[in-house]
Amino acid sequence: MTESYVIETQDLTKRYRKFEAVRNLNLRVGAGRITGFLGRNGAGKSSTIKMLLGISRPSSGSGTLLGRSIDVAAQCCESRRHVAYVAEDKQAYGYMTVAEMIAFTRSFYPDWNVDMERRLLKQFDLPIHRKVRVLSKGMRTKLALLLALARRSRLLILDEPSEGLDPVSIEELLQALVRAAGEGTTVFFSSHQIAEVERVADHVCIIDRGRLVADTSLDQIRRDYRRITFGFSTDPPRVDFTGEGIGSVRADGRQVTVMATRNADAIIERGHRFGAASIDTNPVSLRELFLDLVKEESRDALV
Amino acid sequence: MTGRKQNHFGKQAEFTGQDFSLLANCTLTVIRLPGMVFTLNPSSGQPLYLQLMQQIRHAIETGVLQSGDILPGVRTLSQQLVVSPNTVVKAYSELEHEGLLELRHGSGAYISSRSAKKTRSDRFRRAQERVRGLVDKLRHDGLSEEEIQRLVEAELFYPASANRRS
Repeated sequence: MTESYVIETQDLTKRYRKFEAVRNLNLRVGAGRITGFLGRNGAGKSSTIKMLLGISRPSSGSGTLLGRSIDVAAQCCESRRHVAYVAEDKQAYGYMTVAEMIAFTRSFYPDWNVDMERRLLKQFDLPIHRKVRVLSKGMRTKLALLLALARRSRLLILDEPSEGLDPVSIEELLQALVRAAGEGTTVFFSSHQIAEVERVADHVCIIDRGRLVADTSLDQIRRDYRRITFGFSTDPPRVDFTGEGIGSVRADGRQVTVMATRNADAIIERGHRFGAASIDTNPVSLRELFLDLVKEESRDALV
Repeated sequence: MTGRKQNHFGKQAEFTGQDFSLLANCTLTVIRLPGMVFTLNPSSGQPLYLQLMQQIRHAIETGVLQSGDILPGVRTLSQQLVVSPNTVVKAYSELEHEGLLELRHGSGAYISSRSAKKTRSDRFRRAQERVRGLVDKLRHDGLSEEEIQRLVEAELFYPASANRRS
């Protein structure tokens, strides 16, 4: 069975004057999953999401959202009907109360999930008679989340949903995402918070300086990625550690550390053959992988 | 429906150890069900569905979960553990494949009656006794606990590499 993708881009690029915010991005997001879109501030996450939703136009390249082209206005409108979006600034009409905002939004969607609305209203403890304008950042995020989740969309896109939230609110946010996924919604959310992506996501795409630097499942990272440290009792031999499954190699004195993306056993075997006195293998957390990739990229950029 | 054994785990589930975001990448997700605990560690180097499978299997082998007991449904458990529903789906369907769980649409995951066959838990108990015997012997030979642990781990993780080249 071929996998179906809700988001697919080909060489998607966004230039702001001379600055390339997104460079030749080939992004694919599978249906029925929770995908985390990780990157540092300014890495190109929001620029990408805005192009996907038709809010801004690509400088070059193309893409599809739910199978419809993102730069043909009519097709974009069609796909947007099935996509809920929680924007970075969580905008809503300030002069409305929470209850009015919910009733207003509800009127656009015949398939509105009243059950979800009630449950989230209660769980989030939203003050329904307060004006949106005076809500705290956390409250505004929760309202935006409620409006997005109750729509029963096929795809939910969130841009930095946890930004500015306290730990309890982040927990509630993650629960809401998991709940939406449980109801069959594909979730795509950008974040620079590694821990939350590592917990709830099935898949992670990492973007750095506008380029995609990783696209992998969390299961694969846990199962295959290993940091292997070889200790040598003499100066390390000039072992050629480059090859299949090797992400990066670092030598410190008599130690050589290899980041393996697969084939860890074969790499360990090779170390043995070259006379390593000690071999230490550790799983790679998403944080380590992220730092490794992003740092390596910055090294490349300096060259 | 065998009254006494009907533990509706899902309904009685409670949260513990919720202080996640502060612990960055060493966060643990702990769920306490009556008589059992699921602990998923996102950065332990093992897929979460495998961690969940192992813990359910272990609970069955030790008798903490018994034939007829019900595990929470996919949505409920994924929300309690705050992990992707796919994690729970994968764990449940693999366990169903192994014959330990019976998935009934809409009513949850039942511990299968086949799992109650003494063979499995007997086998487990016998193995446990053999391991205990071996560990005792190694200790008697003067090996430290740490050394024994390292030996076992080396055999488990790199059985084919280096020391056993054929």
